[in-house]
Amino acid sequence: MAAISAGEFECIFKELYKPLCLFALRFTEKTEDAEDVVQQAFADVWDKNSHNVVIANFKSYLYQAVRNRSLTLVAQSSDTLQATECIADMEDLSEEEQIYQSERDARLWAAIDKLPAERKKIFLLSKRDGLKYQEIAEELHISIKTVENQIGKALKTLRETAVRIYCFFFS
Amino acid sequence: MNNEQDDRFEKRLRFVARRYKEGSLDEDKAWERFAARQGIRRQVAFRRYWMVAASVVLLLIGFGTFYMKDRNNPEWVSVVTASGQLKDVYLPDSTLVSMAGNSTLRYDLKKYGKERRVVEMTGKVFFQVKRNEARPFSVHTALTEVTVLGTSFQVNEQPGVTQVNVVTGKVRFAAGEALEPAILTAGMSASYSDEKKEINIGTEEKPNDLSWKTKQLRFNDTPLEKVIEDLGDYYHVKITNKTGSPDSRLTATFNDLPLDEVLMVINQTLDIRLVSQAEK
Repeated sequence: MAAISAGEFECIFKELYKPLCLFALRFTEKTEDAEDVVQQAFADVWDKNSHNVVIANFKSYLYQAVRNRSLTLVAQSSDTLQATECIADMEDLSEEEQIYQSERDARLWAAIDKLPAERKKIFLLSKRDGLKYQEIAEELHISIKTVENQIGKALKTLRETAVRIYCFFFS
Repeated sequence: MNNEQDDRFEKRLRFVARRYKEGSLDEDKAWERFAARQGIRRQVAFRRYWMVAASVVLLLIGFGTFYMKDRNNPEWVSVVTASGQLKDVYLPDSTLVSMAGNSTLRYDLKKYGKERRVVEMTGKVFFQVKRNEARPFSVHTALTEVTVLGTSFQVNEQPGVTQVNVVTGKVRFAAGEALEPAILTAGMSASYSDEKKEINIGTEEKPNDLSWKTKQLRFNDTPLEKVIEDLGDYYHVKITNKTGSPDSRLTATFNDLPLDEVLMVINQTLDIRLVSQAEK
């Protein structure tokens, strides 16, 4: 007899998965690594749950586990410089704030997921790949005006998501 | 959004966008992977399947119950007559029902004619039943049950006594629980009294039992006492004999005549004095 059922565990898993991954991405560079770390953390919790070990606060426990595993992973990798940078960047935030921020990041991620395909492509070429508007226009054979337009619309959508999140937290 | 929030948004957006990868961090896919590895996929899928199946079954049971209940719910049609009011009612199979005053008739419209034709009644009712041998016609009163195939007959249900008069055809008259039912043919009448708990069959013709319906009073060497009783029933009055000769007998037929004229004819014929008093 597990402390919580597989169905309940699935709910917790799906609710916390994306924020935990974005939390892991503060330490790891690759999404694959982040997902692996989160999977491992959940596997650990599931194992404990199967052996009837009661975990008082799943969420807090999982964030701790993801942080520790991420740091271990980064420490093992050759790029130690990057790791210290990350940690320095986070020191001014409390654990709770970090969780909140990861949840907001997860919503942003989901909002990008939902952008129309063409708009998403243009947006990512600009914001992720750092291409200039001119370069995007040339690559996709569209006008700069269209690029500006699409990125404007994408930002508007994402900003609205963010506003909703802020309203939610500060209301 | 103020500048500080704007900065924060820009910073988070850059953070997320730089790490964004199409199709990554999908919690559904991740769960599938996780569950497969932990060996809990089957269980969850199984549970879900059963939950869906259970919901469907529950829904079906719900609809079924509702449908059955709806189908079995009677849809009563009731006809009631006031005192002195006569009413003709046609049933769905075109059986004619003639109701005397102070009578009620009730049948379930949904069931009537399905397998049997069943009506419930109180008071005095005359039936001209449309012949249908596949679907017997039954009249229920509080104490008795009359079953026919296709005839005309009258049922007169009074407190404690139920009487049946057959005009044409054959009827089956059952009363109480243990009694043998009586088979009555044209011209016969039978009555069941709650007190005696037995069926009394009379073969003598009682023509005036149906006079409310036929509008005809017939007397054939009838004792005066019976004449007074029949007149009282027909006109809803109380009639008294002011002379002292009760042994007279009357032979006469009256076709829907006013009471005054009837009394005049009788008084003159038999040289007696019958007086009516409005029934209280």
